[in-house]
Amino acid sequence: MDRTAALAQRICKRAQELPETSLRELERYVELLQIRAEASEAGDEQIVFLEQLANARDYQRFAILVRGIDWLSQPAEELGKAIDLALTLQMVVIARELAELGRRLHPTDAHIRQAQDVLAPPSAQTTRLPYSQGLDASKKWLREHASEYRGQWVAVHNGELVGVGSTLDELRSGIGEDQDSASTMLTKVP
Amino acid sequence: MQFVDLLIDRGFATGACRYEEAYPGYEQAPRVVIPVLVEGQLIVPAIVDTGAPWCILDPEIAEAVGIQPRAGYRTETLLFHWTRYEGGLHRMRIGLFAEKGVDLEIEATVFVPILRPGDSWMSPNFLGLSGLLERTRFAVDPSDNAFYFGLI
Repeated sequence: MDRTAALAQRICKRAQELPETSLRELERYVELLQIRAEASEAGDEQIVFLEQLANARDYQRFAILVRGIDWLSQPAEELGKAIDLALTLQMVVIARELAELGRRLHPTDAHIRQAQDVLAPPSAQTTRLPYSQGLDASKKWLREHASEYRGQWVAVHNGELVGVGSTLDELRSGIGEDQDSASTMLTKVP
Repeated sequence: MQFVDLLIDRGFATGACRYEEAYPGYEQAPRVVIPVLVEGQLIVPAIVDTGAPWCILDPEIAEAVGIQPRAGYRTETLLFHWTRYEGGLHRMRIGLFAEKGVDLEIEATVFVPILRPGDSWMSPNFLGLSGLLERTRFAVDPSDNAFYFGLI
């Protein structure tokens, strides 16, 4: 019996005794080995292969490979690239994991630090925002009149239109400082 | 708001406001729209959208509160509602006004599109899942247009 067959037999035998979670782990590991073998056959580096998977929108294999790479042995630049690829695929959880890992492995790398800062989970606190007078009335005005101002910016204060402009800058200079406050609702009407 | 006792007094939410059913100018598309305070400076409407990958903010609004769209963490593109947008990710404060309970301010991750010269952003602002709603407790009561929000 050759080495491969012997190994397969051992795995089959042990797999029957494994709990479900370990089985899933084994499946992921086998998949990772397969992806690495494909990359190696294609003569590609793992990062290059990661890029190919991202370009092909192969989310599942991207996730398996990116989590299987030994990032300790990779330079910061490659890890930064992986974060960006994960973001391109909108795999936010993975991008965040990589950024967090990057912060520990390459604390001085500017790209990774920026990624870690921007991808940190949101934080919230109760507060007292500036008093906003007549917000309900302004919402009502927008509900009833916004469609009359398509393509324009409007400013509504306490239920009254206080300015119209083709850009936000124009609108704000038109309404002046006193109206440009926490009680004035601004919006562009698409 | 009939669930103030149940949701705010019992700690699920910290505040609640009434939402509009459409974004200004998009009267035919039903949405949950609330006013938000951006960076403590401007009040703008935003659609609560768990399908939006990030919060999305009009680049003119971002610039008005001192955020340069090109200074963000650059992502290639954002695929949203079958359209790809170029832009960057920024950290900014988004305030939710409470008509009942107390206001909430979230340090959120917001995608700000980068426009080509001469282009303008004609889409609404969004409060998306990643970077904001993922760490905010919220509930919607369509019977009286109430949007409850709170801390996790």
